[in-house]
Amino acid sequence: MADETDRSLSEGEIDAALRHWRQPRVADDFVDRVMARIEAGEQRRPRGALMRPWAIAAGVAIVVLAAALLLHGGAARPAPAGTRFVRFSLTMPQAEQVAVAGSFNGWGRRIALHARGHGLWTVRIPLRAGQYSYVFVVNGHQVMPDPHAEGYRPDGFGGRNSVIIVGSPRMTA
Amino acid sequence: MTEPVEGQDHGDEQERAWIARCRAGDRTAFRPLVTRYARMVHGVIARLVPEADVDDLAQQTFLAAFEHLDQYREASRFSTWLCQIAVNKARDEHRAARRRPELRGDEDYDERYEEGPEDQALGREHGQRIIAALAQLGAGDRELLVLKYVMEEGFETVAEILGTSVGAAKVRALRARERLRRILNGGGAYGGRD
Repeated sequence: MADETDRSLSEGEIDAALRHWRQPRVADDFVDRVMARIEAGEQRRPRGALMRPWAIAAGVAIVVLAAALLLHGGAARPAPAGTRFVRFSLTMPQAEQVAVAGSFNGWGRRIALHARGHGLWTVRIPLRAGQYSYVFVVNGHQVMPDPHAEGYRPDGFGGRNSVIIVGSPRMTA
Repeated sequence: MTEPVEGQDHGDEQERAWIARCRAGDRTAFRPLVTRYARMVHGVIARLVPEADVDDLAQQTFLAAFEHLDQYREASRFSTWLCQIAVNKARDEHRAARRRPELRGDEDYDERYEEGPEDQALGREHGQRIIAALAQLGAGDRELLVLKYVMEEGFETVAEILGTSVGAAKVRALRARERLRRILNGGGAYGGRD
């Protein structure tokens, strides 16, 4: 009787054995354990400053600058010159994610709103004075105008975009 | 999330939205990314390091990805970037193991790993022979074989993960495959190891 373990393997058998070699199981609680470590803040947030000498020096400079601004009555988070922070908000308790897209960045990258509890989603975006069209994107695919927009205009596809006029009296800053 | 996230297409709009939310400070948005790619990351790491280290290195891979998410460039697939991190974690583990007084050998074929119908048809002997043969290969050969023939990535992706050219990846994969075939068929390892 031939010893199966000693015979030469064909290319196909090698391929099949490689494909199915040691296919691992993922522990049922793996995702929960990773997220527990992330949500507990064990990892720095993305874009967190690295603890390198230049980063430490930059951090010190920022603290000093912020303290100077506060001492002189400046805003804690000044908007870039010529811009104002505009707060976009939507109450949507059933949403799992909300973003805003608009003409303020050429309808480019969507900007995520943050969940503030009780179904409220908000984000503040620095915008220059002017008139902008925008929509909210709920759960990555549901596009809807802002129910409390200053105005609306046709989007050219049978729907409508919200309109905000930065610098107008109704603007939320 | 109300819909399953595992096994969907890479780099879709929803994935970009999750990444954007993470970058904006929403840690919970990382969960669907972990869910989607947990099996893939385990798949890479489990074939490069001893079984006892797989879970920990897979966790480290995701934690590193979250921490350095600002370095991810969307010109690459997120899965490719994750694979790069996973391979680097495995390399780090190999370096650390070399510094430890007692080196651990590769694990035997382990029943904790899933075995599908094709495995059963092939017989466990083949799995054991593959592991024994791969243990004789260098780490570079193992990485190439895992990415190309186990994870079935294209050469462009393999090259991107390993930081080499497509041409070099093809040549190295062919050589690694030939070394594996020679070992499996009784010829022993030959030539230089990566």
